[in-house]
Amino acid sequence: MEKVLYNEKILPLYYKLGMSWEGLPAIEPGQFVMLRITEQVDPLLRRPFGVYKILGLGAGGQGSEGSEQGIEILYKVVGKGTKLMANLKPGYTVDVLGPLGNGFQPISKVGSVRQNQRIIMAAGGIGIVPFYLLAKNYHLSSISLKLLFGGRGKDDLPGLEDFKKFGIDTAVSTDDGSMGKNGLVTDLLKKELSKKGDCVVYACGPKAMLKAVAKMAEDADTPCYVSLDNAMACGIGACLGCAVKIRGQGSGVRSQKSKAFSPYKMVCKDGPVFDAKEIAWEEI
Amino acid sequence: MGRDIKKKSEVRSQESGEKTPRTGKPDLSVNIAGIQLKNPVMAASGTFGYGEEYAPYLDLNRLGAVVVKGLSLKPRQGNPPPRIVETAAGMLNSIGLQNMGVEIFIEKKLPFLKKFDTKVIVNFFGDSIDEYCAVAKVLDGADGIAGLEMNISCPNKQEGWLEFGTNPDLTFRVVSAVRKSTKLPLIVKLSPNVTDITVLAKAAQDAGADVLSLINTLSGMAVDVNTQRPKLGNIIGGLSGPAIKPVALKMVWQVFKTVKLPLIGIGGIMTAEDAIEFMLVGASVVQVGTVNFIDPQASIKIVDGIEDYFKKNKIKNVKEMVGSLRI
Ligand SMILES: Cc1cc2nc3c(=O)[nH]c(=O)nc-3n(C[C@H](O)[C@H](O)[C@H](O)COP(=O)(O)OP(=O)(O)OC[C@H]3O[C@@H](n4cnc5c(N)ncnc54)[C@H](O)[C@@H]3O)c2cc1C
Ligand SMILES: Cc1cc2nc3c(=O)[nH]c(=O)nc-3n(C[C@H](O)[C@H](O)[C@H](O)COP(=O)(O)O)c2cc1C
Ligand code: FES
Repeated sequence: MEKVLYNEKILPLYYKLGMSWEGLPAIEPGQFVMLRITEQVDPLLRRPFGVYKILGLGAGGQGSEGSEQGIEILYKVVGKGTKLMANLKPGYTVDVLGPLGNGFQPISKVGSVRQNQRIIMAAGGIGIVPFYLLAKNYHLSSISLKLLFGGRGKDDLPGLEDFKKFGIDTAVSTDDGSMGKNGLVTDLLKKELSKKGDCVVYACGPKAMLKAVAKMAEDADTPCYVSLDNAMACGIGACLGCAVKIRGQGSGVRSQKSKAFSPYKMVCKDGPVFDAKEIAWEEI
Repeated sequence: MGRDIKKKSEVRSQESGEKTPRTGKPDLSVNIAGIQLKNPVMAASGTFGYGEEYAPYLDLNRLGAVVVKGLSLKPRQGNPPPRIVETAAGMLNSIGLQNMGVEIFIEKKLPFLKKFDTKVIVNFFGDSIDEYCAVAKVLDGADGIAGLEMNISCPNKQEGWLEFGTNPDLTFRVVSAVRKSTKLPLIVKLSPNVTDITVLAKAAQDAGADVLSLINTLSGMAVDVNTQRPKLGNIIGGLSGPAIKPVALKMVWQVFKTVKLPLIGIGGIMTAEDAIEFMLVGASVVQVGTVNFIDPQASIKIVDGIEDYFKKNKIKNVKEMVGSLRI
């Protein structure tokens, strides 16, 4: 059981929830936690949330925000569970399971990208979450970072200020033109991909956006990693509920000898971050 | 074949394995059809993976048994996503029995589970009587399996995809055939999606089942009004969780009054109190399913809670509890 440190509304539908976490484990950008915020049976299941910030590590660590060790969750109120979350007050307890899943591949492991190249982070709305830790990991390195951030309107760009604060080069788009370029984040991406030099695209957002981003990256022959957000029950690979269809294995089941017996992967355990080329986008 | 509710001494399930220790510590052990369990709590099939997934989160040695995800002869790919959706105090799943097949299980997963001091029960299914028997035979030859649990909520491809577990004749035939294919203790897991579960329970008993477990998930569906589409890729799924507990309790009680076999109660158990309710209506053992997702340690908390309840109520062993509902 972890303690709520703060729960602040930052935009009409978005909140930041800070909580303490004793013996905080190492957390990679893109990993998530399963939160249980009530002992009641409705809502029943835990809810998955990315880790936005790491709190209280002091000067030597990844950050120095706040004094108590813990994490910050950035969340959007969309339904039963997140509505309840919005009522959490400092001192309340929350049950955290995690960190879970595989985060974004460090750029050093992305084959075709040489050192000193560019990372493009493409975020849609609440899809901004994994990029704060990612940006922290790289912003002092020689790798150049670009954030492309799209939302429905100016109230759909949570955390934008945080990125501006530590000087990340950012381009914004909104569907209604209330901030930045009037259009989609993929319009920004098109321009970015046309620039010279190797880059890698990391993306998180609604499925339709990820699908479009994956296609553009593939056409541009650029490595692309996406973070998926399927519904989950266990979060640890036990229930087989969060399946996503993988490309290139047809509809049939492989022979028993083959280890890859299934055309499905589990978002919680094999992901949530996947190489975009792995996903059978036509079925999403 | 009914059971005299008053004469509980006749119930053959609850012969407690160990002598009650003199310390006054209640005896939680149970023996069902020769499977000696250290306590009456098992993790339910499909909600606990192959045990491995949960090993980092709880001490598997503390469980009565682990029932693994349902296995078929060949690997199965399962249903298209979305496969799960939460409903009021419950969840629907349409996993579609995705599994790695019985042989890969024996080679890759069983060795890990065997290391623990808990019983391994293997849940399995088929889409024909032949497949059920073939899986049972393969499992019969493997070392480290305490018993088999037959999931009969599965359609029969040779007879119009009618579910084995919804028809007494089919239930009798498939259980009889499997009975001849294995020497291991045979648990038959009943489907609740029937008009009268006692008829199916009798059919399974007559066919030679050693133990009955119930209930599997209740058939259900959910609709998204924004997209006007079903919320599950498979349209229909199985309901589990606290929402189904009253239905499950009633069915265990009905079956307890009808057959003599030991029973395993399943359905919506979240706490030790829930487990005790199932014991009172006739379950010798319980399985916990959906709650594992919510609290990976729930099964152990339930074991501890049962022990506390026994102490508080001066109950010496499981046998004393089973079917002792006051009416
Ligand atoms: C790996 C992973 C990481 C995630 N990280 C975050 C995060 O950092 N911050 C965050 O706010 N959310 C995140 N999510 C999404 C979050 O888990 C869901 O928004 C949450 O479970 C919704 O719970 P609820 O009870 O409020 O909604 P429910 O009552 O379960 O759903 C209500 C309605 O909202 C819809 N809905 C569900 N999820 C979303 C969604 N993501 N966006 C819009 N509508 C949705 C449902 O389809 C349903 O119609 C993440 C999901 C995954 C899988
Ligand atoms: C995700 C999921 C997968 C399941 N898979 C199986 C299975 O493979 N075989 C089986 O016999 N029952 C399966 N079940 C049913 C459970 O074992 C149990 O009977 C049911 O969920 C009711 O118990 P609960 O309310 O405690 O979850 C599954 C249930 C869930 C939720
Ligand atoms: S949520 Fe259970 S397997 Fe992914």
